[in-house]
Amino acid sequence: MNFAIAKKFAKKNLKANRSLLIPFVISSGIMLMLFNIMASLLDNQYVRTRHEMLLTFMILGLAVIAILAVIFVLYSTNFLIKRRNKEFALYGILGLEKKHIRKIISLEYLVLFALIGLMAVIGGYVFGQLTFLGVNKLMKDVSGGLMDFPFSLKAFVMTMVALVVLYIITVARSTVGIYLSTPATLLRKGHSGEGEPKSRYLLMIIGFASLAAGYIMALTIKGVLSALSYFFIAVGLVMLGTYLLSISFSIIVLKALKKRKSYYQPVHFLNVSGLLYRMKSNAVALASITILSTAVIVTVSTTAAIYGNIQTMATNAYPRAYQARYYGKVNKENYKTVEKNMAQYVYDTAKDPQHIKNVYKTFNMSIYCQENGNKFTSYKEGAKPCYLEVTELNGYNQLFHKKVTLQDNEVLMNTNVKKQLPQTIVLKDKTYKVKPVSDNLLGQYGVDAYGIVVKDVDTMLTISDDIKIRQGADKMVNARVVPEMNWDLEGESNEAFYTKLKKNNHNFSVYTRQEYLKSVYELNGGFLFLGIIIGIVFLTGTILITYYKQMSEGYEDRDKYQVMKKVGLSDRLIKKTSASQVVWMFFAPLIVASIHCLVASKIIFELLQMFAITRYMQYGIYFIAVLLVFMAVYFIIFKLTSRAYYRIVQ
Amino acid sequence: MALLELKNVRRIYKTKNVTTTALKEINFTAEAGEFISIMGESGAGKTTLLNIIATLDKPTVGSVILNGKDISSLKDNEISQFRRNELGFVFQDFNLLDQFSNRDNIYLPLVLSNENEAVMKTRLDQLKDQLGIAELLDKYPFEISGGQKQRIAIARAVITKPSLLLADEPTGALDSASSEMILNLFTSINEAGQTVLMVTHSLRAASFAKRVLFIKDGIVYHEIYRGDHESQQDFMERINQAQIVLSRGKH
Repeated sequence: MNFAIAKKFAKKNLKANRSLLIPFVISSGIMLMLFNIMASLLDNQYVRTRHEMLLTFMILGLAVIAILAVIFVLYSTNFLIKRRNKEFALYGILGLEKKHIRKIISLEYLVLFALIGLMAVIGGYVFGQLTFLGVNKLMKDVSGGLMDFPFSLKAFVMTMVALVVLYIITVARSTVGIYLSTPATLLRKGHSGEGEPKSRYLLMIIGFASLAAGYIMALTIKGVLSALSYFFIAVGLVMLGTYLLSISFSIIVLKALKKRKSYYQPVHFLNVSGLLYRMKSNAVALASITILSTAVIVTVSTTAAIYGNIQTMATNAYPRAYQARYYGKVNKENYKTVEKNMAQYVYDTAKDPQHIKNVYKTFNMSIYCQENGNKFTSYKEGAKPCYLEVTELNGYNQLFHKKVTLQDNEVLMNTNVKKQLPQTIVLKDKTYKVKPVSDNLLGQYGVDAYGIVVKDVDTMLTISDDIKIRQGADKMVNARVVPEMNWDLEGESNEAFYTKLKKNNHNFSVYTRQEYLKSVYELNGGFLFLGIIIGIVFLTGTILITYYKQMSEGYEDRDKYQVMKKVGLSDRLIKKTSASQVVWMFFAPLIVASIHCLVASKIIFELLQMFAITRYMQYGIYFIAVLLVFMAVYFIIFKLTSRAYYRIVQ
Repeated sequence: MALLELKNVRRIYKTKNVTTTALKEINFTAEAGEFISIMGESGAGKTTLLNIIATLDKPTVGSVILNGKDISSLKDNEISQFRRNELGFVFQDFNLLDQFSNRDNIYLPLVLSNENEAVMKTRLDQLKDQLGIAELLDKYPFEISGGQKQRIAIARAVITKPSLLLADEPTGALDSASSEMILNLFTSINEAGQTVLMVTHSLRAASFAKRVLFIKDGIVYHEIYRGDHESQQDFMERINQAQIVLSRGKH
């Protein structure tokens, strides 16, 4: 076969199959475009020097996109092959050799991948610039302009390599079936997916067990550390459960409906059997749509919540704009002097002592120790570490504007570990009565910890004597009591003040909320960026699978309608029942995904305590917003893909 | 009174530039209990005629009266119900729905008429032995052979006790043994009182009928009856002769 004939075939085929191929080109184009954008940012000098933290996210994102691109391409190719088996069989019967068919297929995909490559390169460059500006904005970096984002040759090469790899995978996948079978078997393959669906009870039981285990995990896990270690296990279990139940439980329910007395009612009769038939061929696609939808909602809402709570996070870590701490040795004799010197030093630095406002002074101490019931003792090798964050009452009253008093043997207590606080605690051998409080005593704590407020600095120093902490390999030392002063500045230039503060500094470490915010925006802006990119990737997948599912249903329904009409079904009944089935097939994944997300929101909330989110609604508000937006988007997808469906059916 | 009466039926298809007369002027009547074959070459208008009787198509001119009712005057919303109650269909390509078991395929028209399950079951029980489908009922259409599918389709067509059973090349997709069996079924159904109208171009199939109508160029050209004691072989020979005469007339 010469090239001209192959070209003719390929051209004709591309034209004939365009409604199947356009979504393939668009979805693959978007994936590679995102790949190109990520690679460009990764290669960008400005990003490399200014946003080092972002690089890790980029590499992660690049890997996720690459893996998903391969999965989506394989999915699309499988779908296309199924639709075209008959066509290939016919070529075989009409006398084309297998290598000729391969030639035609290679040529077709060459054209398609050229289009995809074009989209990836041009779209990647144009949207890359937008992304670059967007990333800088997310990170509150105002200095980056478009001249900092030149065309990246390295990213171009990487994208081309990805393109070629995907091309080879696609052509190999498309031709291997033709090489392994005869035209006769290919012809029959068009009818695969038929056969009575079996009730697979074992799969259903495993599915329910796996889903229940995942749900229970998500709902009952307390504390950040365990949430972190169980999160991905829970995700895996829920995914497995979703797939298994989709292929088993749905069929079992529908078959049970069929056995009911009321089965032989026209609408019920058509709907139950119709859904059963649809589930048989679409169960896996539905489960995939559910999982991808869940992934979109979870990723975007989580990262948006983290980003949105940056200010809260900074306020937790730094209650005032400035903070000074003294890391020298503090004991019963010198702590008052240190505190005084620190204040003196701050007031002296300001042009006018009146400019120092909202001062709040305190002492605090971090201990990691060993927890045994309500007893806390020095840490020993191998035990689960437990953190105590100790402050004194005076600082507590200032920070929270309270007037609490404490006896010698009383402490205020709070924890981010979700369990009941004990009535009393024993620190080494002294017993304290616990008065629980709801204030955040832990500031910006990521791990499980207890916040304790004691009567005064003397008590702190006693505790520091009693419970030793480890230093180096085997040395046990007293925990350090740190005097701390927080204040705001009003009425003079922050820069000048800060420069002077640092220059004059001898013993004190100074921090500003501003600097902290900058680092957090960089980190969390990166999170949000990654969340958005991965959200787009998952959404692309959702749309692609939905579209193909609608198409394949459309082809099946077209033949069915003709028969139904001949058998005496009215147009009205056909339309009514098929519309309700299509709606079911479409909204079932959304409903399941919403439930998954709702359950997931519990464990995610636990995780988000790392990011200063301590009340559920701090996350819930983002969750609900993203869910609603996603529902709207999903509905638009439904409307658009339904059009493709009805075009085929009519 | 005749069960079915076609008066001056004409069907013209118009596209932009071309006007095709599929049926010029068809007149015939069928009495209750008849078994009629309609024969004719491709393009003679057999299928158009059947579609018109089946209410799947409407005549341009003329009337079709079934059981005293002019079916060309039926409103669109009455047609489906009329089709279900008065007519049974057997198609060349079976037209069974893969989503239903064979039993449910047979039940389909009754379910659509809101018949209760006990009635459906009784009627199927009466049919299943005659049609030899008892073992097939719990299977699905894609699990059985063509001849078996056609028997299911016949069961579906007659379970509503229609006034008229219409068959469009019912043996067209079957091998000779299956064809023979299906045609014998038609005969026995007819002997039980069912009126049958079958379109075919197979001599063998037509010879099972009691009367054969020949359609050519959109009109009923000729008809022959099977004699009371005439063997099927002889009748087939006569049909063959008639067909030869008809096609000779063309030249």
